[in-house]
Amino acid sequence: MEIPNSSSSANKANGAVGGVVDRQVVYVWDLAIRLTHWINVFAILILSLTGYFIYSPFMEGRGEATNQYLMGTIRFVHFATAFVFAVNVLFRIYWSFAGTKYARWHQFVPTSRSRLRGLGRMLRYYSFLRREPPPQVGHNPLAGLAYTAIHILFVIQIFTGFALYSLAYRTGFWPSTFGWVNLLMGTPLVRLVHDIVMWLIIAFTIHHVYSGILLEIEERSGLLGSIVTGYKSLTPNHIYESDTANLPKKKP
Amino acid sequence: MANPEILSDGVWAALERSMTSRTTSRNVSRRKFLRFCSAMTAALALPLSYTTQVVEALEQTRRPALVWLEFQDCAGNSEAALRASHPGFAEIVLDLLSWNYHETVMAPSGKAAEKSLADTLKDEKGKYIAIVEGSIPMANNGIYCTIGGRTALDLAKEVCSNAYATIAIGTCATFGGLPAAEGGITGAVGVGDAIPGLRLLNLSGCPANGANLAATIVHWLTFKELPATDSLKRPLFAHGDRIHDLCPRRPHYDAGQFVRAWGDEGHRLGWCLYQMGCKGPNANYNCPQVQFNDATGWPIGVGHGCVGCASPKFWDTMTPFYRALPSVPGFGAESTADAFGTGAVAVVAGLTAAHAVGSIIRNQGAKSNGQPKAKKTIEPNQTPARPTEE
Repeated sequence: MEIPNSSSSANKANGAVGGVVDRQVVYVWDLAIRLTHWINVFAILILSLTGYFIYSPFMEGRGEATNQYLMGTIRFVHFATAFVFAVNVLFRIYWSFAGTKYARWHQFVPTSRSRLRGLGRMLRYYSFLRREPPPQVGHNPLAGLAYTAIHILFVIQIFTGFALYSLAYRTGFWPSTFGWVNLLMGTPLVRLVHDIVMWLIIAFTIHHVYSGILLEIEERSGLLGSIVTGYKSLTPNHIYESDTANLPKKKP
Repeated sequence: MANPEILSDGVWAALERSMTSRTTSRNVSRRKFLRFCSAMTAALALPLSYTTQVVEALEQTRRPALVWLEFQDCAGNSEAALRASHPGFAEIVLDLLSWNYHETVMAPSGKAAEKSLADTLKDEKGKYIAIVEGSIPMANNGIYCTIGGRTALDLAKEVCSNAYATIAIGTCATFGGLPAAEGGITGAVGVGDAIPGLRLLNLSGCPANGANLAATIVHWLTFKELPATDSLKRPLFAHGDRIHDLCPRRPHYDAGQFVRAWGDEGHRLGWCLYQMGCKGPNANYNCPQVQFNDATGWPIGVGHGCVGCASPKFWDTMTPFYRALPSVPGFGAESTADAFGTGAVAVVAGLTAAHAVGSIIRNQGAKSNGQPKAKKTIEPNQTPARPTEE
């Protein structure tokens, strides 16, 4: 891992009393992570708004139907964005096997002993049983697990979405690839799942933004900015943890 | 052909036991017969040029036998088939085939009826068409439906496996239908599930459209095979397209013009019924084209949403009929997806806000106590030690 020399601006507000913590600027999120994150943000925003409109249109086309294409346009935007979202999610899953250290699957599925221990620490922190959030360079283990769950929701959303999309086709790729979802659940239930998962993703987003702000305030590590720039400003505690995070054996 | 009406009396009547001779003898005019043939060609979604082939095939038909079984049903499909008045259905289709057994309409009863069934099975083995209406109960060895002391399953096995082909008519016979809905105790299933491996065609619907039955029979008589089917063994000519995609109200859907309440302005203007729970986007059927009651109407045409009657498990999956989305399972009949979704978001938002308040209080407490925020102080340039935990 490349650790450039700390800049003086990164040293402020470290929260430590009785000594100056030497913060170091660390490149954590590679370009692919940041791009997929922001594509997800905008795609989910557009998909949720258009999707809710398709379920319950809150505007109405006025006048003769000949001159209106309100629902048609909104469905087009929904489908076009859905393709972008699906490709984005697919790429992110691929990148969790091919990407840089903090993009990889072991950040999302805690298997090592230290990641598993980190789960409990983070839970204790969230439930006020622990003063400090456990130091992490990348995702904390609990957040990683939450992102695994959110990606499962994404995949459910993609499958139910394309299953509904396939209804307009008699034969061909869409029905043969996704038609089984409709046969398995019955189409109205597919719609219900597609709707409820949207609400779950919105609920996740609330917590996601909140915990980002909370940890930024606690750690002052530039967490919020890091998803734009890729850099965090970290204490040696964090960096030490990151080096051992995925090693099952203890260092002397 | 100059005048078919004149021709029918002269040339065609000479063909003994042919379709035309029988229809003319029963006062079905050549014009009516040709009208029927073109209607069937259209129902099968064939090009109009096939009409000639259909006409020729029906003229030379040798009256294949047909057996119509009824099990857990309401006879609605029999009603729909017999009352279908696409040109000359009753006169022509009833004459195209030798309907040897059909409990609702046959003249014989008791032992005589049983004998006509047994005779057909013996004399026409492998040649007759078996039509099954109603679901077959499987629970408790099928005792919930017995005819002449034999269970539905037993009868269906014998009749269907000796037939050239089996047509399951109506949603009960195709997918179990209402008797298979949640709460049913008879273990009702469709013919395909009760007796796997049959040469089977599923004419689904509640009721199945009589025109589709006629068209299927005409297809078989013309091309000597059953029509092409989808993955649920439903004929593609009847179930290939989605109601939503054939719907005359579709322009209002695309325009975003919806009925919001029964009898409102949109309803009077014939706008889209999706918000009133129409299941047209979930259902594949040719109702918009073929229609019911002498092609005078169909559910969406008369202002009521589609209920998706031709779909598998239709009662369980398509209810509630008057809501766009089903209820959330396990949260009461009145819970809607919206209430559930906004509820979940509200709970998370509430917990988050509470946690934020907790965090602020904690940080305030740490400040006022003068406690160091970090447990461990690290000198600059010191090699980081493993952080102490807990």
